[in-house]
Amino acid sequence: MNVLVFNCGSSSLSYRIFQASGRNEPRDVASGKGHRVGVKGTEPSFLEHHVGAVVTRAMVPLKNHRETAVLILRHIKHTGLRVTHVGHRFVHGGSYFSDSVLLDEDVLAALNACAPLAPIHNPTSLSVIEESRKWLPEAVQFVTFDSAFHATLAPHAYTYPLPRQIVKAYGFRKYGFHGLSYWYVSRQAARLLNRPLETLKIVACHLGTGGSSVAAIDGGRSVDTSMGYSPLAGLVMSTRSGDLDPMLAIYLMGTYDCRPDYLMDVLNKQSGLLGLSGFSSDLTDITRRASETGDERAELALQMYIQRLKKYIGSYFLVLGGMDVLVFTDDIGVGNPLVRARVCQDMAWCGLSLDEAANRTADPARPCFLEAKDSKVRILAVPTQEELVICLQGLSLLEGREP
Amino acid sequence: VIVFDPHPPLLRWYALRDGKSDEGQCDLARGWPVAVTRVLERPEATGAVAYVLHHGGEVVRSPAVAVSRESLTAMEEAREFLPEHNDLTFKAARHGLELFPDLAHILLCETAFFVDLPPEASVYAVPYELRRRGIRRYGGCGLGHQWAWRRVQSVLPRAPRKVITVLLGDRPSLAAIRDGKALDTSIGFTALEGVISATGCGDVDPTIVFLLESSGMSLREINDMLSRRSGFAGLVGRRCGFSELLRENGPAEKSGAREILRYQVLKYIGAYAAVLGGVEAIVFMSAALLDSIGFITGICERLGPLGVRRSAAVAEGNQLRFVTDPSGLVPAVWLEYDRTKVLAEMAGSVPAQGDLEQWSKREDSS
Repeated sequence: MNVLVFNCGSSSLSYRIFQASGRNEPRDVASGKGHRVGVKGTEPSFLEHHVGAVVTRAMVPLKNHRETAVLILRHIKHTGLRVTHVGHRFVHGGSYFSDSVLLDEDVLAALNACAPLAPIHNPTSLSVIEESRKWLPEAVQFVTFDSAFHATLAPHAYTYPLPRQIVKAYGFRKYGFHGLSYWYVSRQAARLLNRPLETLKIVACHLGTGGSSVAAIDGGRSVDTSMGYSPLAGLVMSTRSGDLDPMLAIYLMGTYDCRPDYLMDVLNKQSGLLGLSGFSSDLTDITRRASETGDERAELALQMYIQRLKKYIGSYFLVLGGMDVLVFTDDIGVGNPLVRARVCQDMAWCGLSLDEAANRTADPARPCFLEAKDSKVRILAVPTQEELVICLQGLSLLEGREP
Repeated sequence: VIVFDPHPPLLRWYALRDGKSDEGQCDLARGWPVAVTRVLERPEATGAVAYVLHHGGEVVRSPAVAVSRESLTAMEEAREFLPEHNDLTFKAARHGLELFPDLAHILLCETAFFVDLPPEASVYAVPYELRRRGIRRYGGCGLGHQWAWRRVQSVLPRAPRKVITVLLGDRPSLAAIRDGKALDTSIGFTALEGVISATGCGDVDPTIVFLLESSGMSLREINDMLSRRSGFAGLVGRRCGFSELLRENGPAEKSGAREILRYQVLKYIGAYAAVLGGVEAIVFMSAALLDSIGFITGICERLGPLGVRRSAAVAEGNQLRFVTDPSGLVPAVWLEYDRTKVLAEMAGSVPAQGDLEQWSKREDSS
């Protein structure tokens, strides 16, 4: 069987086709990614496809995820690969979904009901699901959820102290996201450290080109994470504000008479790095401008990004009662040595000491340990493989159904 | 010293002389001149008269400053930041200055300690067009945090440079202070942001506000729910103060509110250790140690990774007691938070007369 996996990031769309048979680890036969989907930056968007060692790359405008999905599905059709299953990543399953499901009309209706919970991701995932059903009507489709990994949070970590009846009526609680990535990198960290996962205290930073979060993982179980009910809370992200005074939302709607959907759009799509820098949502643009021209707004954006992340690392260090390894993952996590260097600055108090040379020369495509000899905490940059996790979760879901 | 402290619709006053304190409410129904005169005719009014301004915006930049009728007019620009409270403060000060021009009149400002927070702590990651409109983190309860910083400098054998101050009570807040300057604090644009309080929700995902609005609640209802019906009250199901929350086997026990407060304070301490690049002292303030000692030691037990060494010893010493072994790497100390005394001490730190500019320079260098 050939499993096509779509992974919707907020500013990217990745796909990967796995060949799965029997008990063997699924083999990756083709992959690709649409970069900077819908991004307002100085660099153009592009689409790349990998088949074996052959890479094709096209500079094409990628206005949104639906159009990108169509380009990818058309490309796959041309290659002649027969896709039997399609797996999708869905960010927010709310209280409807705590585990992966096979797609049918009822599930689709429930997914539609979840759309407002993650206003950037859920509608884009839905558009990719729709196009997949159109282009691959024969294939079995399944959906996996990013919020599932954080189901282990304790009440004091997930409770919002609102009136009980409101919490009950609306299902307000911290859900947390990037669960597929945390599941994968925590297991990778244990394997690379050659230690049982059950004994490890991990602080993991999933730093993507769109959304970012941090998680405190104790013995493989998530104990806290920076995103909340929606992916808006937590770190400063490319276009999301992260944490802010909830009164601000009330104040702005009241004082300036903004419509809630307008303000929600401002906080989700025009804030974060884009709002702070005023010119780009792309951290690469911002670090370049900050270091080349000393641009004040670029420096502020970078400084706020770093400071917020350091605060969460400090919090989770205490929450876990120590830290064995600090993990950096996803595009910025593995690809931006400047961010790692600044995050680890002045963090000797929690045992972090970075090896500057190892950090500078780390290969973004491979797992790399980056701590100096005197560091009490290991520092690991490791590429995440959300698509593999989606495929594995789909396979275990299908077990018993497949001959 | 006499201090006026607004609690709309009431204007409270505290009086302190020779360690004895008294307090009451101004009788505003009889008109401002009578109400203020009544208080300022008290024997304690021979020293200074202070007025607490709860929100000075970016206008009032000194935590404690002597005011004249002219300088007060300039500061009244800050009225809009918290109109109900600030109106009471400015009216009281104006009448005080007119009726008793020979007394020293001092404005105490709860946000001034945080007016120069570094940008990474004061700015919200929203578009510049919004930030231009006065949208920033202002902090609050600055007088208490600054007071705690000063106290801990003089009492510890080695003056700490990196201090985390934790004010416990119905409205808990924390601050990260280095060399006398605030680097971060938990209260933001309003006092709703930060840790859970007696009636406020503290940090919650702002998406919740939009969902409540779109389900038909008015902004006033949402504001009321998040500020007055959430926090301990929301979890316990009725109003519940900090001291009741701490009572063992009390009705609040099962609500989980105490554990949430403990957990949030712990997370802020960790975050502020990162802001300060390590910590040299942690100061807890609360009204009564006996009530809160269990709660505070419970937090200290989890501060081992910061270098706080647990000890059963509670050393007595002039308002300041150690809740961890003072010989440990990082001392955790407790200060009695008596608002009257704190405000009086902060007011007393202003020189009655003399060169204010010189005084403020000395403050900066200390």
